Amino acid sequence: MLPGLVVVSKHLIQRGAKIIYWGFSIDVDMTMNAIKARVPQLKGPNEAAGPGDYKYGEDWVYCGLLPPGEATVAQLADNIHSIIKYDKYSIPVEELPLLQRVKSAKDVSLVITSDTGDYGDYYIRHWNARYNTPIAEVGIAMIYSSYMTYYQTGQVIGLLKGCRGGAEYERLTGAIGEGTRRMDALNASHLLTIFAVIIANLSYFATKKSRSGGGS
Amino acid sequence: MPYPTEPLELLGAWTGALLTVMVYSYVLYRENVAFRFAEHTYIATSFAVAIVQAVRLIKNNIIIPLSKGEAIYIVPVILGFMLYTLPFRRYRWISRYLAAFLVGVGLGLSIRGTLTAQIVMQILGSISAPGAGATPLDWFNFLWIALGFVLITMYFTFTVEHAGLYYYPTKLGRYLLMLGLGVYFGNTVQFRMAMLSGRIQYLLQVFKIIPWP
Repeated sequence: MLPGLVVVSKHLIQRGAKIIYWGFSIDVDMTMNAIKARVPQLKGPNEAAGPGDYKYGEDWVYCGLLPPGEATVAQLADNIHSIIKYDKYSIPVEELPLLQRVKSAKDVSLVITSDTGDYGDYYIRHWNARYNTPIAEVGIAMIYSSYMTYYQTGQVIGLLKGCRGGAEYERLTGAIGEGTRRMDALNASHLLTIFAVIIANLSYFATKKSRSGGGS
Repeated sequence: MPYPTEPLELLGAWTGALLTVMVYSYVLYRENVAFRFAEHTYIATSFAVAIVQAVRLIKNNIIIPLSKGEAIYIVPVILGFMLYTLPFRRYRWISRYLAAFLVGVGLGLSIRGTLTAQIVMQILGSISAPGAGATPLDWFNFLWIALGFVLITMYFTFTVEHAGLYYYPTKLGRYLLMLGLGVYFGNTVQFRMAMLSGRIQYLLQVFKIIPWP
């Protein structure tokens, strides 16, 4: 998922979109650190922002881990400030201009969710179904088929399929990076897997034939 | 980003690489000391991170508001403590009220969104024919989904014996189901491969065979 998250973050910055990051998994800080390391425009609260950089609090905010569960996602849609009182760096919401402007799902133009299945469904149920907030999924390859049904009904406006999705988005935006680099290894490993499946099936049928031949 | 030069960063990078090798030692040597060490380290680290995150959440969402005089926040604290009566047989009944409350809230929330998002919209999406400007592929997809829906529903109808008139449609339904499960399995393999390639890429970066990201 990381290549997809990185390239989507870069594209949002290129488009000048304001970004609020939050997460429901305890490793959210690790993911955010990995994104920050690859997207240097995202400046922290104590870092000086130059031209083209994203100033913390005004252009982007990182809220850190939020209490996990569907109830939190539902409540965020109704009233973001009832859940988020401080950001990750313990700065009160009142001192963050970006969060002052965003109070509920109505103030959000797009939710990009990156998860392994559950939270995408929660955002569709509580943000899209109730507030018509567009949802996009930067998910793992495993859940891609499940979310295709949402894409066909327009409940999800975009889908990135794991590492491959990241590579495709990198190609589309012209920001070739980690996703594209990883695809060579992935393609080779998939070819090997397909080759192994073919060989295993051929050997199965060959063994079956020789066994039935020996038995008759 | 340049290769880490600070001692702590360097230590972190090499520890990560070492633990990765220890975990993958399972493939060659099954359960072994190195794998066990990495496994226990992972569990301990995850637990530590979870505790730190939980403390931060409690501080920001409960302690600070309470210290500012927002007394309403005492309610979730009391409700939370009610759960901890579970191990005591005599007071276990207290936790049941909260469990019932949580189940009720969870069910209410799920039903509110599920009906529209995951039942009505999905049925509408399946029965609505492609509109103007639809390509032949759109029509193929529409008919394919409709056919799949009917055949797989027939396969899961157990009140009628899958014989005679029902034999071929239910058999076809089973094949379609297997095709769908195959796609899921393929995607799962792709996901696992992506994880593996990520770890290998990390190892190569630490060993300076490919550039640091």
